[in-house]
Amino acid sequence: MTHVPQTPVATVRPNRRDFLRTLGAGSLAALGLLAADERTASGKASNVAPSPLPLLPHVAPKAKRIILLTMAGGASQLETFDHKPGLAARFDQDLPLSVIGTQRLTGMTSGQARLPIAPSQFAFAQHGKSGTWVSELLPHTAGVVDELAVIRTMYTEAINHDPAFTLFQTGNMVTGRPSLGAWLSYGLGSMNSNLPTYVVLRPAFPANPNAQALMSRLWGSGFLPSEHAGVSLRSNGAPVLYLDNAPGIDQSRRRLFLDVLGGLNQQTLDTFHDPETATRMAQYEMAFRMQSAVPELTSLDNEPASTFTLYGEEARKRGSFANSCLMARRMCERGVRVVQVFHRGWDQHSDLPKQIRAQCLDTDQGCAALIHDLRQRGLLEDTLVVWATEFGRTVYSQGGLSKTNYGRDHHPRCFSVWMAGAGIRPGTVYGETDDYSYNIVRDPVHVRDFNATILHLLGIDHARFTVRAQGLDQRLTGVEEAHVVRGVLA
Amino acid sequence: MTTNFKNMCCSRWIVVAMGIVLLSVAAWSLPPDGSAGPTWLRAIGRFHPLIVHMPIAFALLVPVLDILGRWRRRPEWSASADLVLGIALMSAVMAVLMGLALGHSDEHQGDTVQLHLWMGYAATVALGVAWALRPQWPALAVPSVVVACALVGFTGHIGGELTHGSTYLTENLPEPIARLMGAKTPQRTSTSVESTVHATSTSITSASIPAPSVSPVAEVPASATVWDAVIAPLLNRSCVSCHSATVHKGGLRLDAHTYLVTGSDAVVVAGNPESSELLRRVLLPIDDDEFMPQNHKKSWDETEVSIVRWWISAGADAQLSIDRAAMDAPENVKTFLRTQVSQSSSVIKNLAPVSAPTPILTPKLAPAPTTMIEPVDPIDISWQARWSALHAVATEAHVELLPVSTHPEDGLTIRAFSGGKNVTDASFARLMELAPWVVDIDVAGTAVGDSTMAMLATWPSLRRLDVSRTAITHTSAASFARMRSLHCLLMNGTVFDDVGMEELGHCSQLRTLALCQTKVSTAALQALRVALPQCGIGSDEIPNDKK
Repeated sequence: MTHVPQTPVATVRPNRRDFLRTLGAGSLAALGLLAADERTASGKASNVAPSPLPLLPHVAPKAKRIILLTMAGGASQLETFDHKPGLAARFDQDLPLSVIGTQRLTGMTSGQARLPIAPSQFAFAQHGKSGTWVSELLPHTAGVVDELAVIRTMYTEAINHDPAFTLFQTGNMVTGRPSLGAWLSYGLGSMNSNLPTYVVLRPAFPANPNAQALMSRLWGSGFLPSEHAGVSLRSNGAPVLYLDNAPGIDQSRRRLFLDVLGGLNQQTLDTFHDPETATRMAQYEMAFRMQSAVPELTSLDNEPASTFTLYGEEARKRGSFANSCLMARRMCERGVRVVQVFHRGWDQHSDLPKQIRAQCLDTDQGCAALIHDLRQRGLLEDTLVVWATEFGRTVYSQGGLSKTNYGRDHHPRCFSVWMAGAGIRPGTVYGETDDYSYNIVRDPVHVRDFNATILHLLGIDHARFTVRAQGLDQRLTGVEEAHVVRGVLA
Repeated sequence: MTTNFKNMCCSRWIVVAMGIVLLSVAAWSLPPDGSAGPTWLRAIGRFHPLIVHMPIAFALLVPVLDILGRWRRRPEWSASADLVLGIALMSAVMAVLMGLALGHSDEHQGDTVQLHLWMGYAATVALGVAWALRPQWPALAVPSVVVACALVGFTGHIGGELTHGSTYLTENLPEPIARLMGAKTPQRTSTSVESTVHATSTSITSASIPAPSVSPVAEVPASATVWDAVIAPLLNRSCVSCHSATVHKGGLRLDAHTYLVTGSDAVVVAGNPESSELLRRVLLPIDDDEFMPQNHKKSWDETEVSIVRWWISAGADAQLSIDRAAMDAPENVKTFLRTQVSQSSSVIKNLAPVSAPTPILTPKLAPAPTTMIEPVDPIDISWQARWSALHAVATEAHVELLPVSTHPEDGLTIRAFSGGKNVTDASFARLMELAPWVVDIDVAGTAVGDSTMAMLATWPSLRRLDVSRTAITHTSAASFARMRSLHCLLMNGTVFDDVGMEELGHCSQLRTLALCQTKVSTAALQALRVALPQCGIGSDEIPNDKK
């Protein structure tokens, strides 16, 4: 039995059949990719016909594409969407123990002498026809709130960043599972073989001592072939390192080089049947095609002035959040299936008012501009946009509480996210938390419910989208029951 | 001296004659009839393969001693040849008796077994004759023993075939040499699928289902039967070496469909896998005495067992064709069958990551355009062929052709992101025959223009069209107005201008219209919004709060 390097959890036998199965696996795209490879390699079109009916999507999808705006660190629901006007009167009072119940607090606040209630410093107002409450920190988002479905009752079991974030991204706190984007790449495939199927952007963020690191496994492919992993574009310099030809190497020489290298890799593949070899070959070819596709994608020369009015002048600056949002729109226009923008720095254990103001200032206009822009360009109807974070923050202050300053600890029991676009009922507010934004009163939405809803909008029945690995028919939503959140659907 | 010599000659002939009688009686009373004889007999018989090496070795040594002794002038060598021949003869008799015991008691039967038996008998008799005539006619000593050795060798070879299968000796030899040695070509079923299995079993250590690409294998038409394409090759691989026309251990043959299902003790009970002896045997613990195949290296893996189980439960019909089977088989069987149907990458699509069975599709069509997609079954052969043709057309035009979903009535999508500027009016013109089915076209960023729009105007089912960043102009407005199903039209980044706006005003079917980065004026936009109140019209205008 041949050893499978790098995929120790895979139960797939590394032979050609499994390679074909896993590589192709329902993905229209993988086939397209292969076909494209054959084209480039042999110089003539492939005549391989895909099956008339794929097994995915199960039903006609509402969304063809998805943009994930991911606020890493745990964005406070109390400063964004979960308005609790009653808290002002309870400033600095102790949070009643009956609210906390039996919950174990994190080590960061469990030792505190008291848990003083910290009302949000920021004013809320109702916006749009829907009258959704939005904080003053998000004026631009408030402007497009009639496009959004705000879910205020998300919850998770994890109380620390890595497990919570891993759960949010992969459906499981334990590492090694594919991310949502990888699942979608695997199941639905690429729409443009010249660009990656799942692109990750990691814009800059306001300086923040508590910024959590991002691990590449958060957009990894887990037990799926690694070609389904997100491709992270760099925010400085060349978007993809070494994509350009080295000095003195022209395109035809590059092609010759890739053909010879491809022949050697093919020998290795024939000998060892390792799907990772196939991935490597596919990625070389992808890089070759990206040489022309990426500069066209990242060049903003053809954007009208109105774009920068909409997204802000920041959007001209490579690596800014606004630029990432603009890039997300441009990728949507060019058939990238999944774009995920990670914005770090939302972990406000202390000095929250100042920090979250900076975080919101950095992201608000870009998010709203993206929604507006997609709507204007006719793309919002088949693009799903998701703004989310891994957990919420506590109503009580971590550390000292003053009229002008406070901090908030991690809070898994409720947090706010929003969805917009394809198949979403616009102007919706879903779920209700208690007076302290501590517990859920009505309509809880677990992370797996959220993921099931996303898959549903992409035409996939989450219960039937499985891959056998580690002896289990694995699925994004895990083994526990997950429900599509019908209340946010159009 | 002379008397003693004559006595010895006579006594040798007497011994040989008695031996022949003994062997004949034994052969007559212990026929290999396929039944299981007494255990004690089997216990003795099982030593046959061990003892059988003695007569072979000793007999071959006799001519060596004879010839070497004469050549090197070492009479003691020649003298010992006689003793060795005697030992060879005795061990041959023992081997034959044990062989008879084994053949009678251990479920052996068949032509090859019979041949082995009589050759062994003949070889032993030949050894006896060679031993008996040696003192009297020294000149015949060497020729007679050479004849005997040839018979011994041939018997041993047949025995090897019984144990290892008829192709064991020659299957790995280069083809010409093998043919020179008279190797039989391996048994073939009516199709050539069997080679798939052969290739697989030698290339992958754990016996597994045939890998589509391991060896260049002829395509199997989907009209082939499951028996020919799947079941027979599995049996050939794992069972037929012991259960065939030439060897039928336990009285069982598995080299043709009829032997599986006929007779009161048939190993396959059609429709009832649980009562089928075939399945019971392969599912036993591997160390069970009754586990089959006895050569564990040939055993079936989980998928293969499930295929056979499904085939039995589906009626174990020899005529069941793959295309028919594929309609109601469980997903894993379908997947397997699909790998059989077409060898190359087209398989990929069917191997979707969905483990739950897909509901059988009974397409119901949207009543609307009469030219719309016909009811098709995904596995239907004519549709498969037609799909291949359509797909080939799409590939030539540098576009991708994809079903919207698993439901045929959802129609097809054309995507041209990957093709880019290779997609032109000329290439797109080839896609005309797709017209009835296509509901969604993405040609953003391609080189198509107004003439493609004119062509698309006749496409009855088109609901969404993205022509952003193409060369279309206001000329296309009239074409858009004729696309009566069109709900969504994206024209961002084109030179579309006010000239076409009035015509667009007739597109009351539109619900979404995107005109960002076009040459359209604000006034014309305002007028269009009045003309099309149901349509959301996007432009570069900035919402008031962002100005």
